[in-house]
Amino acid sequence: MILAVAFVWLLALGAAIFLARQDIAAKPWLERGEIGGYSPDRREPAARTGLIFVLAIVGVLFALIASAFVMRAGDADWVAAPAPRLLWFNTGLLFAASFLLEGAARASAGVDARRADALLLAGALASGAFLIGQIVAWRELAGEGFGLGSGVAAAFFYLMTGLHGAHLLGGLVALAITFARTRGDVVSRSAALRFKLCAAYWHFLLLVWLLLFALLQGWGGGLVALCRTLIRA
Amino acid sequence: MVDVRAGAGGFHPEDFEEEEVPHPRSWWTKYVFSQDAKVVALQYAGTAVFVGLIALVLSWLMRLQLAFPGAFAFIDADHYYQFITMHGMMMVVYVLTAIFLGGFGNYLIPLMIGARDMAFPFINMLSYWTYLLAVLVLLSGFFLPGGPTGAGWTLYPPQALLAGTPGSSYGIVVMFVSLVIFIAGFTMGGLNYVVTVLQLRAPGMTMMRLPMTVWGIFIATIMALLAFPGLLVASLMMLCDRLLGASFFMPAIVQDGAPLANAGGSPILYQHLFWFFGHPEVYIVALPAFGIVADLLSTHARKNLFGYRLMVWATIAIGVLSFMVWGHHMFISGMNPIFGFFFATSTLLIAIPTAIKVYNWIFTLWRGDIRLNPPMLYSLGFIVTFVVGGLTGLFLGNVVVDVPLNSTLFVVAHFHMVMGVAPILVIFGAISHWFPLMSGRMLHDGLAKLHFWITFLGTYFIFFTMHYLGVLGVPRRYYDLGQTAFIPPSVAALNIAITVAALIVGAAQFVLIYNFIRSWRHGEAAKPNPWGATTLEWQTPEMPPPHDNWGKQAPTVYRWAYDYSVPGADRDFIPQNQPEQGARA
Repeated sequence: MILAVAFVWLLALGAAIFLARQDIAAKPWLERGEIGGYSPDRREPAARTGLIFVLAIVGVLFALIASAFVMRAGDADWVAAPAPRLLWFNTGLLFAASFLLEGAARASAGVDARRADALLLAGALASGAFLIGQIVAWRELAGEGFGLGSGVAAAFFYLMTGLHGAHLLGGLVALAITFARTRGDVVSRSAALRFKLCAAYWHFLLLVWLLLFALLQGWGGGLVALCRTLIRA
Repeated sequence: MVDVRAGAGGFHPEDFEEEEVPHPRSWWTKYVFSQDAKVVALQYAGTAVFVGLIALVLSWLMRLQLAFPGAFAFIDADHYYQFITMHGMMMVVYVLTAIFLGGFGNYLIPLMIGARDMAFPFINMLSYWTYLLAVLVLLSGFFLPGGPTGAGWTLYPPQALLAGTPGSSYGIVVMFVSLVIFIAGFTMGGLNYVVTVLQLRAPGMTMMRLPMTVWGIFIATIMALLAFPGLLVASLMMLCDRLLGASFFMPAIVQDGAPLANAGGSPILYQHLFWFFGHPEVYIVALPAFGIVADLLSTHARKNLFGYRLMVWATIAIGVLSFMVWGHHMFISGMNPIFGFFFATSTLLIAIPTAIKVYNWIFTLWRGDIRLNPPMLYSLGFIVTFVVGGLTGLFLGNVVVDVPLNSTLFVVAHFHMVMGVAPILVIFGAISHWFPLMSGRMLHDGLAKLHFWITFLGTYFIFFTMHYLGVLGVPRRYYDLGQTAFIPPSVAALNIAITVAALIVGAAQFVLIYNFIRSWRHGEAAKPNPWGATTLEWQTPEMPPPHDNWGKQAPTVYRWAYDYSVPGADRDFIPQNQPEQGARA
């Protein structure tokens, strides 16, 4: 659970920085009148704030799963499941999707409607290909005799990739809504914001995937050993 | 073209602000599929109260079995465990979380911060309907073959999934499915509450001018958003184990001489994930109650809240610390003693910000012009109850004291005091305080006081006695004590007395419901701002407030939320939206 707690501390740090900027040392009982230059037009768009919280929630979710994985992977009876080689290719696809959506967001902000639309579609296609690739990887693994019931390591593999895929699928729904809402209007400010938030979500899911990928490849061994030492200390 | 006023990323915030509140066009969109946070709030609260009444009846049935073992043929051991499980899960998640955040959060956040509605009204509406679906799925367990699960509200594996535990075929599945749906619905609502507090505050409403109610709900919502994923992961993994043959939590087990298909799972892992959610959940319920009670005390004692800054900081500190203490629910799970020491220390640390709050409530009352009306009575009842529940928590937070008291009725009495009775008294106080705002009428004073005294004294009779039984060593969760040598015969007499008190207290809740319905229809019409409160929700042009809350002009805030009895002012309160000129005679 050390990973999850560390992640919560990270969030707490972010919250502390935010609160420090909110003047929480103020003495509101002494301050009357319209103070702080606080007016609505200094605010960030609500959707962006919402996304920050969504990312925090998704982050905790995966931090908990990673924690559970690390806890179990340290046990003596742990038998690792092989990570299909296809995952490397899929990782490349997700990288591509992230780059394409970033490009779409920049094109949208840079008032290039055709380019933005095309890049958005390409990003969605790359993401779809990633999901199909993950399913192929599942079948490969199951074909090698590592089904969901075969052992804890395999079960974790399906859980991690499945939940990550589900979040990407949710992102694709959001992308479809964005696409539908912004058709013919890809370069307005609200559309540019939508594109940007979609891209941010994709970058985050890429980051999460890279960490899960490292754990599934067994590269988390050092981390597992570290956690063990901390517990035994 | 670059606009110099544009914020980071080159956006005009005004593109996203001041969207027209979607006005309802028909009866359906006004009262059923409404996007008005106030209607969503009443839907949430109404559903939660309905679930609460079911949970109340379940607790009666449990008490009847404990007082008169075997006297009621339909309460067999299986049913008893199903009642325990459903009572616990319903009260903690589907009643208390839903009513504080979904009910009071929805009603009060937009009004108290001077907003017209939530940030994402459609998602807010969706949140309620998802919650309702979760409730229906949960209740469906009663009608499925085998009934609801009887695994205890913590649903620990492997027992929860093993044949022999009531409801292990269907009940356990619908329980976890319902929890997953609930978490999805709550996340939609929670995002709304947080973003609304951060983005839609009226001009002049700085974070440090927010009433404590909003602070409590705000921090509790953030905690809930971050804690519920623990339960979500645990639920999904349990569903994998139960339905798909995985073994996250299920170790190799031989049942009736035959090994089960599962192997290699870790039941302790479930406990970690569950309590990563479970302990913050206590404060998810408590922090809104803390906030509301601070506002009720200040308003009805006509005094500014003592130590507002410290109250805010303590709220934040409790929020952060409560993520570091889950292990104190697992002291007897065989954990490393060093961990036990760590969790005991962090648990006792929480007592510091909590004690700060208790002292500040009491100092707020000190030399105040205390009005002993129902909201004040409920608040005072809360303080006393919370202190008692908190002190017994200090016993249980220490590993060496916890080990003998664990799994006795002492634990049951402790958590019912601290997170059952105490927050529920605040809910009653909040209902009596904000009833005029919701209905435009006053709650009947005499009936409210009658309800308070029966509830307050009755719950003390129930749970004080139960502490004593716990110290005697009477175990919790037992269907029937039977011939247990160390338990004296007087325990049976006390159990009967507790049951009689529980029946009376439960019945007294119908006094409140009658009072609510009667007063909603025929109560005395309320004057505008009947309590003389400073906060914005009482400054609306109409009572109850219209869909967009403020009519033509949304408020501007000029002062903090607690300007009561200001020397030189012409009234004993100055509303938050009153400019400096005109406040004085």
